Amino acid sequence: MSDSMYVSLTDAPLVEALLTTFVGTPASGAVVSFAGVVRDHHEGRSVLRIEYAAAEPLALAKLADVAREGLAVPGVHRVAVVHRTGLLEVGEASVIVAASAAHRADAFAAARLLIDRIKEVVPVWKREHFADGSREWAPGFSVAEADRGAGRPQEVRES
Amino acid sequence: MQFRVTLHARAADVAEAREVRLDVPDPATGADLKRALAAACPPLAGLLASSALANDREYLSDREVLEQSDVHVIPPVSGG
Repeated sequence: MSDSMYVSLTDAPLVEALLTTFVGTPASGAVVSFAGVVRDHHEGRSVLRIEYAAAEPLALAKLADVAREGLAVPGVHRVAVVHRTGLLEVGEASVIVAASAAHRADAFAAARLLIDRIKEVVPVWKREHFADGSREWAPGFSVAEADRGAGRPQEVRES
Repeated sequence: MQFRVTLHARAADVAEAREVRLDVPDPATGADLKRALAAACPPLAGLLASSALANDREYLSDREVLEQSDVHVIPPVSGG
């Protein structure tokens, strides 16, 4: 792993400042970070908490692949990606990405790519725990070979 | 080869198992292993079509011969 990227998969609470500090360099005029946060509803139903499971160590390897994709965005200096596992309460961050560049357009582009690609290729699964007591795995994105071969992975709406 | 197949998330729920051991005649491709898994556990068949096989480092091709006995079934991912 290069010193231009920071990647982590952890069951401990995420700290955004660690990422923004890491990506900052003297040449970076722009630092963009994004946090995905557990919300209290899903398609009209009340959500109490979300459980995140990961296929380790593949998930960490894929997070690193995504970080390398982010670093390949022109103008980007450094990137950081962290994903949480375990049982998260409403308001807790499940994922944080950050990117730095000389100018904001490149940093925004990289941060957007990082979060989009995490959702598409990293083997992590969320299961919403609803207020009515039910628990359901989210549909997600297929990483099956046929879908990988088609370019962008396909979102699975029903399974 | 005898495979030790780890099932994740919805795949583990559908199969009601976290790990399955399967014998598949050599040489076994990813598709061969998926077929054997679907035969051993029919409720998994539909989900396997939208699942990838993987080792600890990479997603695997369904067309290539599996070289390691430890394989993961990765159903559609929903991180972030």
